[in-house]
Amino acid sequence: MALIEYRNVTKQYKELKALDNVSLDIPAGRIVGLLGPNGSGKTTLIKLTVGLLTPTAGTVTVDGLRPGPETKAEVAYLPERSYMSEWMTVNSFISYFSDFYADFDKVKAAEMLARLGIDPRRTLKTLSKGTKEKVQLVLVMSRAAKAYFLDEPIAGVDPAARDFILNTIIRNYSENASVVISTHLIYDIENVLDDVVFIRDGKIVLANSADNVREECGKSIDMLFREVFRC
Amino acid sequence: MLGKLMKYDMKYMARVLPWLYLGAIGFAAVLCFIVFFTPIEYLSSFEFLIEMGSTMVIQALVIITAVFLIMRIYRSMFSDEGYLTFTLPVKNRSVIDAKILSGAIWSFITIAVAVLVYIIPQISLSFRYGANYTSSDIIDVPDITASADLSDALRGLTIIGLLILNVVVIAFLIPSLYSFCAAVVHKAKRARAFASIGMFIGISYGVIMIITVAEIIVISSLLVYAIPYSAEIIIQGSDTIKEAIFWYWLLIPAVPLVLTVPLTLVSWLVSRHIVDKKLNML
Repeated sequence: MALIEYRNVTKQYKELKALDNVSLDIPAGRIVGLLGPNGSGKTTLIKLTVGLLTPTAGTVTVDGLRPGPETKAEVAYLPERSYMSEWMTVNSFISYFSDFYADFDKVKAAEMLARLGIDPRRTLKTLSKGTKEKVQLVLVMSRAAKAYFLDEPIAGVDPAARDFILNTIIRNYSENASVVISTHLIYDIENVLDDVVFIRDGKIVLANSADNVREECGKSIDMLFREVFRC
Repeated sequence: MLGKLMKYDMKYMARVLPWLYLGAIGFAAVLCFIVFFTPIEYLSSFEFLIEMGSTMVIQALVIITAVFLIMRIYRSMFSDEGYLTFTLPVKNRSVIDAKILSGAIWSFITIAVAVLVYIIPQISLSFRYGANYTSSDIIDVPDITASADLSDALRGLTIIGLLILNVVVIAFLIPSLYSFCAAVVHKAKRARAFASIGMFIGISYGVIMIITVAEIIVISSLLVYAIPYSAEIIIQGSDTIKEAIFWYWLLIPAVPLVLTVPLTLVSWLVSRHIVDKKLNML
């Protein structure tokens, strides 16, 4: 059984159909690239999974359960924007995550912050945008979750930061967990992906393992993406 | 989990409000100081200023508390912070419950401090005047408490209970009503913060207007009802006056409850329902 299942999922915003009858399985223990241009429905699919949106039709299940407190305890989510209160210190965020998530590893978080040279006594408002993103990633990756949903984790950061982010993800996710990375920057993440899902106009246009795609098409995923989504 | 959610909501407000309370009580203490050290012949000139100062500080207390409550509720639920709040492993309705309960606690403390800020200078004024009164200054008024018995004590307690209930309901109404407004408009992405605040102010103003009109109607009805009995009041004396005073003081706090209790409950329940069943964090 797949860890995450989408069955005939549709999400409609007034006249706009953000997702159109999507059915997809995400198995455990795989790194999945959710790839598509801006506005293709990647974020909507992730938000439905983490319980931030309710589907117009269809069902989403995580480990057999509809999104709710039980699934939220098993899913780690990194949104594309900062969700941290500016008045809190990094330390208080560590306590916050530790209070709410049973799978949060305080020691791991402290070690990662120390490696990055981030002082945990500082408040969020005193940190730069890039440092805040790193803190957020550290918090998410310090959880031993069953699934990690990372929405555009490398968008808008410099190449050195991209390497750091990808290394952090690869080194820290639990072995049996699924990692779903949504992005349109394929070149940077192609090598870490086990599976790829192409999404366009709210529809899944391709879902296969990265190796199969390369073998069948005879080209890199980045090249294929450029062909499929050519304007 | 509700306790943990409340802990962080309480912490947010605790950054500012205790300092505000200290400042307000300090202001009341300064007024006391002025009252005690102003020569008695000039004291009456200060009374108006003392009254106005207390009122302004009370208004500031209430407005700042409401602003902080609104900011906390809106930011932690429907701004970017909501992406964390609503992915915590708790029921969405618990998030609303925590906001309303912690908001009610802070509102209650604010109201208590506001009462103190009003009462402290008034008590010092009455002490000051009391010390200077002579028996010839006291007007000879009929003592309606002379014939007080157990039922009068119970009636008094009922009125005090209703007044306290009003304070408690208002403490719950402010966060419940704003949570409702924020939940209702949260799907309209553009300018939703302003829309929710506008809706909150509009409903609050409407509630105040309805209560005011209801109070006027009730008091007018009491007067119209009492006029035919005015001769009886004169004849029968203190018992009838006592009865009229009792009904006046009973209805004044009872009338708002008819509106505020259902409004608090409905807004609380509807906001719970929206975040539980129809959450759409765009």
